[in-house]
Amino acid sequence: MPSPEPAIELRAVTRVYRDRPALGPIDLAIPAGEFLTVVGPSGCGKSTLLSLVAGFAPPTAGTVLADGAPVTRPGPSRGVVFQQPRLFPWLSVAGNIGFGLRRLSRSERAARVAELLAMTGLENAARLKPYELSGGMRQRAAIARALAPRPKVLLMDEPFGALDAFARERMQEEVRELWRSTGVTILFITHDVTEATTLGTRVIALAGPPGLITLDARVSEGLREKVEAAIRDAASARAGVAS
Amino acid sequence: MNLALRLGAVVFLLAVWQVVAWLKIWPPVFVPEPLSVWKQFIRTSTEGYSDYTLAGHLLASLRRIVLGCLYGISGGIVLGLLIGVVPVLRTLLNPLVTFVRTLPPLAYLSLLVIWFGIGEEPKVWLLLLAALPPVAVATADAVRGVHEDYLNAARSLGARPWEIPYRVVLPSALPEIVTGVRVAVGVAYTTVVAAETINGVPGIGGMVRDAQRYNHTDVVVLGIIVIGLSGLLIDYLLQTLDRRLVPWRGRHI
Repeated sequence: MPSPEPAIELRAVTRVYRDRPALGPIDLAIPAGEFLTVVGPSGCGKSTLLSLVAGFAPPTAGTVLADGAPVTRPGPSRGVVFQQPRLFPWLSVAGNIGFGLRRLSRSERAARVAELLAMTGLENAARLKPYELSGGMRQRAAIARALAPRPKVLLMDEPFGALDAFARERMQEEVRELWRSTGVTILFITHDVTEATTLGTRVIALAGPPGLITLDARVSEGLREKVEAAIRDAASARAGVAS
Repeated sequence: MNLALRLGAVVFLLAVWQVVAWLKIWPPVFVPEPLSVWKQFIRTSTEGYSDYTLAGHLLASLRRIVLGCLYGISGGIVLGLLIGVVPVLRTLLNPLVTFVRTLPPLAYLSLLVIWFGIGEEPKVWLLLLAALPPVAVATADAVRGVHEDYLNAARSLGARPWEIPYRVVLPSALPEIVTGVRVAVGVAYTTVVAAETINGVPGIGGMVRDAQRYNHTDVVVLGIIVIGLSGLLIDYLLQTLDRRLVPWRGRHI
């Protein structure tokens, strides 16, 4: 039996910004159902990687595939959670969650919104406006909005970077729970090594620019030290080249 | 407290005015007494002035303002969207809008009279042209300032390209557009009196113009006060509208 199609696949993908290589070449396959974290220092190209998978920007060379089909534009099969919640301030929480459900009938949409409100613990916030929510609730609403159209892949770009430590820990647990209950494939960007090595099932460390995969590992004991070493080595190697 | 302060200021101004009138430094043709302005208020409200009551004059002016602003604001929003979204149109239309915006509306009133005569049309056109540029400029700037994440979020949620302008761009730009509308109504307000200097009866501007011809200074002062007060009221209404439409203004989200 052939192995099932990866949810996301990058083949020799590079991205150049104004003559400056930002990413790649990257070869990466993310099997369906995986929780992959991408960790690296700021400016290493990890957000570029996410925007290529999301379809916000085209690769300079190579191909990005989602479910075997080339990614040419953003679409509801790949939900995105940004660093800032970016909820639409003119819509209520329920309105934000329902934004991507235009094609459902009114009653189907209401049912799906209610389901997501319950899943993210926002039942009592349905009618509130984004500016009436705490930081953690906003990010939960943003996750609910991204999950509403039942994406196969959830792309998260340092979603908890702006939260305080307490809220961040809670959100990490909730995301793991959402991942378990929905079976969605997650690509999670972070610069926090602890977050990267505890949250997902697989970690890649990115160093750059141009962003290159310096480590690709399954999450296990002692992984945090390995990731730290990989990032350190890449940094000192670059420093060696520069001098 | 605030109300008391404001009332106090009004009473103080009235008192100063009354004292100056009593001292008779200037004849009543220059400085009419508050009381005679009040009497003119009663008389124009009941008997009328230049064949129309005060309410008739005010309503005629308000009608022109409302019409001119409706056309000007709608046109300004559409034009601003186009300028903000289509780069070619930005290059073409931006200088034109700025050109019209810097002109004092009176500068083209004569041209409008030649084109449209002395009826209602040139007045409404003048107010339209006065109200349109602030809204167009505010909308265009706001449209270009919409954060990319909002557009990307909408696309990721399956919004079609043609849905983006009205589902995301326009509501995102709403705070700036509403501010532009307030500026536009203010400009239309200051322009209406000028628009009514030619065949402006009924209309507050026409009434003031007639009163000036016959040295009815108390009616002139009455007209000024009525314009000022109704302007305050309208700005208050627009502020209320602003809070209703853009409750997220100034909040971090």
